Amino acid sequence: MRAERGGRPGSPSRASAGWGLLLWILCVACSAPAAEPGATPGAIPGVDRPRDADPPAAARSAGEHAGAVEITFLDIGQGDAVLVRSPEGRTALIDAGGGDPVEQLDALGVERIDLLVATHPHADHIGGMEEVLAAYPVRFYMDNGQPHTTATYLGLARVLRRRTDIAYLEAVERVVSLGSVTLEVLPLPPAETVDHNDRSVTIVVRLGSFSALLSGDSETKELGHFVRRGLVPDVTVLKAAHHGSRNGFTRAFLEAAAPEVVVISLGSNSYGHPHGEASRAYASVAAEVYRTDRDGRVTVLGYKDGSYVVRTER
Amino acid sequence: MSGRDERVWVVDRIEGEKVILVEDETTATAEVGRSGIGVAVREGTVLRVPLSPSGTLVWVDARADDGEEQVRREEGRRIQDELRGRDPGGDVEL
Repeated sequence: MRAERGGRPGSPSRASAGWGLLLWILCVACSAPAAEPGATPGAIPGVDRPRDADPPAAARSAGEHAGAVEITFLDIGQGDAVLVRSPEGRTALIDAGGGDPVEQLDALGVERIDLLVATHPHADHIGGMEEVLAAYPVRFYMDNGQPHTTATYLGLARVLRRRTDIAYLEAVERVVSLGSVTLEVLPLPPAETVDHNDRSVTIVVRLGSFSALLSGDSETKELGHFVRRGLVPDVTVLKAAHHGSRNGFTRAFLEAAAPEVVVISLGSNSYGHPHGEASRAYASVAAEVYRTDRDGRVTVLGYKDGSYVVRTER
Repeated sequence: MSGRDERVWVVDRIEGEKVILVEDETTATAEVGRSGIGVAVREGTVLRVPLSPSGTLVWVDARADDGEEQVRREEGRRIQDELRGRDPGGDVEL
């Protein structure tokens, strides 16, 4: 387990952290035990809590959560589920695949979901959606508008048709605000030219100078579409597309995104995820690369000044 | 939707040479090598997979049900069109 506070060295965001950051580090260091041998450089041992001791929503206005956007990459096996919580307590869940997202969301103190996003209709991204819809009040649902023929998709679609209390948002170029956090939806490639992965709903999460790019299972066609249109922002955090597959990155895309942190969401699989070439590419551009299969749940707290804290379950 | 001697499986996605399928009645998933399936498949292909006398799936004898696939695509499109009617449009503040 580790906790780090990072930022781009020498960048305005790092400099603007200034005395506030120094004070925060001193406060935490005073209450923490001595560093363990082999600890990650810059890590501050002793500030992590056990998995089931996450603070309730009311406590998120205090301590390191104060003013932070919290992005949690759930450990759900081979699939995606990313929880975004704003400082004001607004909540978005981007994908709900793999194992049992509800159990983990309950443990994280989630009580409602303001925005539920299906990046694309593959089972490893929507397999737990019906359970999520049954477990929590959901205000808005977003997808890429592209149907599938599986029972997983059709079951979800029929539930959404009945649930007229849930408003729908198509993933067109638009901004969804969760209080002070914005979710910018990038325009998708034309439907007729690509398959499901290459029409993954892609979202840039922003809070001040902090940003994170979440792009489902985008492959080279969709990533190229974003690069050619100049849509790829320089971001703090990148969720590796398509579980770290060989076709989930391009050099041009990574150079444009220039992430400080990369998170790969995956579990045990027989597809070769993450691919060695992808792992090396991520390690070459980012200071830190995390994997949910190895690190468990990965949580990033992002601050307006662009600094961040990464906490892992293991 | 399927008789006692066959099961309906639908191609969810293809990862390299692995085909990932979703079973209709349980939404269980299975991985099968592309070469082990008797017909050409792509995302969305609806397969009727016979059972052997011992009850195992005989993927090599699977056949594609194009009509059922089309019915499902049309239902999906209808529902997506209905959902679009609930879209307030533009940017949204939550």
